[in-house]
Amino acid sequence: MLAMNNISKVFRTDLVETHALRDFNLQVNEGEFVSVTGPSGSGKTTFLNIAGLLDDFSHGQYVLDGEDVSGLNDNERSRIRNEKIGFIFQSFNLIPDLNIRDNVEVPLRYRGLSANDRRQRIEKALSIVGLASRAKHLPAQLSGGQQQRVAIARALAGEPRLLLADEPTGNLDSMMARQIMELLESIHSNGTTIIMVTHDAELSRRATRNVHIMDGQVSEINLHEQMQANVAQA
Amino acid sequence: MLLYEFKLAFKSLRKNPILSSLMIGAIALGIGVCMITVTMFYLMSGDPIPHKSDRLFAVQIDSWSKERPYTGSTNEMPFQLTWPDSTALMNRAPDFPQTAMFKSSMIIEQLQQGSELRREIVRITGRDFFSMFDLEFIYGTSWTEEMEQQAQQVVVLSETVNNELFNGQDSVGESIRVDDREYRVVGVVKDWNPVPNFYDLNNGSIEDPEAMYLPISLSEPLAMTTAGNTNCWKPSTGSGPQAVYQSECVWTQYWVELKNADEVAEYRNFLEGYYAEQQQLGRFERPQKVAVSNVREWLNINQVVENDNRVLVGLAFMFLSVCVFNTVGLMLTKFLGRSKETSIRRALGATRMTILRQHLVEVSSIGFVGGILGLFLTWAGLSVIKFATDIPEQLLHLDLQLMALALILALLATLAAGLYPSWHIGRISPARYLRT
Amino acid sequence: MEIRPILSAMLRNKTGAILIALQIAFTLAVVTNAFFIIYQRWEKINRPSGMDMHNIVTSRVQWVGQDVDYKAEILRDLEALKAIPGVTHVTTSNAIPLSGGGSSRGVSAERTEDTEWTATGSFLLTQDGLDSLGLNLVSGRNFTLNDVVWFDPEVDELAQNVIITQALAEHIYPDENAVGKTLYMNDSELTVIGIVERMHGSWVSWSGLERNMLVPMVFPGSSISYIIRTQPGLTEEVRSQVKQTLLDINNRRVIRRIRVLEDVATSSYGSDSDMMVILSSVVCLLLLITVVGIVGLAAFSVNQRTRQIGTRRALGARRYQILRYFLVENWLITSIGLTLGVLLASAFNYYLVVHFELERLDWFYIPMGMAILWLLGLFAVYGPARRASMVSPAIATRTV
Repeated sequence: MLAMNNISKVFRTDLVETHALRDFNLQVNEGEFVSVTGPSGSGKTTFLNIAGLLDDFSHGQYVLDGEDVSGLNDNERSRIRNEKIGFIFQSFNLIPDLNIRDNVEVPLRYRGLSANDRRQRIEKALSIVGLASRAKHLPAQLSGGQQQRVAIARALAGEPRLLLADEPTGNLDSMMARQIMELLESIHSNGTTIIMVTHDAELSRRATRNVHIMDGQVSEINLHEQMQANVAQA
Repeated sequence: MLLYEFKLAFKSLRKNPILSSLMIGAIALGIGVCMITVTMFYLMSGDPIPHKSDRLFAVQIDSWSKERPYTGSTNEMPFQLTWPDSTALMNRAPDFPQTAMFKSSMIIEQLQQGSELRREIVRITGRDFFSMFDLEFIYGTSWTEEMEQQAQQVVVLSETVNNELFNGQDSVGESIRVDDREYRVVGVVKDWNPVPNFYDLNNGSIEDPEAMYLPISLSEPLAMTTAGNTNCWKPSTGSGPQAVYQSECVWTQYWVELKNADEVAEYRNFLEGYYAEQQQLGRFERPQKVAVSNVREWLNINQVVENDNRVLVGLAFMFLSVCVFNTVGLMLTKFLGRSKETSIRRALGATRMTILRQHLVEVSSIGFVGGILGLFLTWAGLSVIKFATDIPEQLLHLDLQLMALALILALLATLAAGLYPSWHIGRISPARYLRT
Repeated sequence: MEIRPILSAMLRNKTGAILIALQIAFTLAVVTNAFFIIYQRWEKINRPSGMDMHNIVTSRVQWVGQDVDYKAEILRDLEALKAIPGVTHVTTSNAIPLSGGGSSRGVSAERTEDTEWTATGSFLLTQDGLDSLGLNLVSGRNFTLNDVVWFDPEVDELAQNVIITQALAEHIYPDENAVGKTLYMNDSELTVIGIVERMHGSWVSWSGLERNMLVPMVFPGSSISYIIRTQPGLTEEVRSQVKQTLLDINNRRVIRRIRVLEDVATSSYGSDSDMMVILSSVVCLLLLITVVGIVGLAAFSVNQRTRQIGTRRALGARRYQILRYFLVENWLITSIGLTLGVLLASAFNYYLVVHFELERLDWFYIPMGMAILWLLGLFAVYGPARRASMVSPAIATRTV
């Protein structure tokens, strides 16, 4: 599904060069649920930005879903983000001026789907997260957990091959966090590949594989027994 | 506390130099454009002789044709009087300071022929003219009543002409030649040039100062002709320069000084009596109508402020309102940009009033600076207009009142612009922006 | 297009949008009316006068002294002026057209108790009058030497014939051939012998500017005007010789205002061209202010929505789609403002019509003003919108 070979990312200012990632190698197979952990400043967010084509990298090769995306221009990268990747952000990033339905619709608009197609997908995605009845509400009228579920619906509506989650429960209390985790697990069980950045050890344990990043490099990979079973299921 | 707020305002203005200068610039530009048009308007509609404008009265008598009223004026009476009426009033009206007058185009030279001939506009008027309109004598005085009655050839020079003919020396007793006749100088007055020139509006409301003044008792014997307007409804009998003196044409202005309502009533009474008498003699075939109007009323009857002038003021205020909307937007931008800081201040105990006041102080500072800059723009704009157009210089003059008006206008405009943003920001809850 | 979601987002952030819309509305009201006034003044200044504006020199002469034989003096002057190289025709006149000074008389096709007299500019010229002014005679005949009457108070004889402008002819003899008709004044009557196509009279802002009559008469007196026609290109040379030529004959007089007719007109239209200059400056400054206002508010709104823009980019929006979002948003706000502006412009114009005797705004000034503001709005918002499109999608993963 995803293969990063010797990826490096260097931030330059006038005085210093900071290596956010150094010769970073990672392979994620289709159907995996990978959690990415690491201390702050280790390069987790940089990894996520590169994986989600939100950011460029300095060296190396990145193959996503069989396509080498290393040299793609901005428009092509936007297209891939739109069609193949779903994002879930720590601070939800719902657009405050749009109601729930219009929020979920945003990526579909950019894909240029017909109004009818969009409507069906929005309804489906909202019913998966259990918020079909709140379609006309504004984000500010919902609780944090509900907002994150809207964000998940927004990610699902595009039927992505890869779901990238950035501390999806970071701004939520534990009960809501559990609901979100269960939602993610059920999405995973439907075959979507998920990569989740988190600093919560308990959460990372629920993934099929844990990648630990330290100083911009993968430092250890824990394989869970469960993985075999999940791969088999997929 | 206020000092602290000024400090905050100053810091804030410096923190966003672009936004601050945009706001100040918008206000300044709005004020500048407004003040330029208001200056022209103000000077046109201003009182040209403030200390006396309620005591000086223009006299009108409806001597027009019985078939139709005079159409050129707003009160349907001719602006000027016929010569027979003017002389009748000067001879018979109650004894108040008053005079008929007109302007004439004449050629003047030094007594010894051979010097350069100068063509000048000269006012032919009575001796009361100088005291009625407060002309200021540098040398000598007005001609005496005796001189006027005897129709002596005497003249009061303006300062400019005295400078040119006599190098500014006391010329009383000297003589000059006017239209080839010898006149003795009895006085020299400072150039008199009120804006608008309310005493004779027949040829526009702004004119150059007149060069000299001659006794009106000379006009008929010497057959002087007017250089102003002559309006007739009936052909004159006879021809030549004397004919107009007997005609029903109107061509002299008539002013009287009346100190109070009683005097006005007395004078009006006389005019009505005169009108009735002339009607019986077979003149004045219209319904009886006379008017005495003080300076302000007179300016209105003459519609001195031109429509262009008013339209420009209207447009300028619309311009200012665009600038105000602009500033509201920019202020809102600026104030909302620091919602977080405001939120913290609220959490630290600032009341809504304090926040409101802090922002209003900032707004006023912007208004003040914008006003000063606007004054400068007004000055610069007026200079450009002076240079680039034919608009008379007298209309492009900034005085203290106008400057004060500019500053007040700037402050009001900015306060109007700043009220909503300040109020809006004052409503921010202490908690709102403290959460991440 | 994505108009509905843009609209609903806009409605949630009303204040900024309302402010821009109001600015646009007032700007439209001012700009359309100002353009209209500017164009009208331009038309007024540039309308044909019927005269050979560039090749006519005019001057006013005033004698000093009591026992001058004015007729003899004038005849000598005319002779001398005609002798200046480059001069083709010379006439005396009581007034200079377009100068702001002149004479008007009431005229009519009949004289009864309730005759409506038509105010008409009156020019007293010699037999060379038409040629001196370069007027185009469209019917009837020109003056001859025999038509010209030199007024003498002893004889008290007036001219018999008159040539009138087409505008006057149409006014007092509608649907009739004026040539041969009698033109009445309250004290005299004249026979119309010819019609000139067009001639402007003395007062440029008077509605009767085109109604004039030319009377073959000279009033010898202490002052008179000369109108001198020159060959094309020699006007300046002639102009520079007029004063000396006249003073050489008699220097006991003042020769004033030796001007080319074109310059006479320019000075009389001064207040109109001043109005044009001032209004154009106001319009330019206003458009500048409006653009600055739009740029300011758009930049603020982009700043405030940086995160939202990043999120949209992360969700797959391309740069041009972000750019388009802001352009469309601004276009919507501008359009709302313009709708309001149309009402405001009409109301303002109505006010001007009622209170200041201005004409009704021609309808096409409104779409023209709207087009200008639409373009200007897009131009103004392009910068901030372009900056928005450059926002990195990685903003989305940044925690607040």
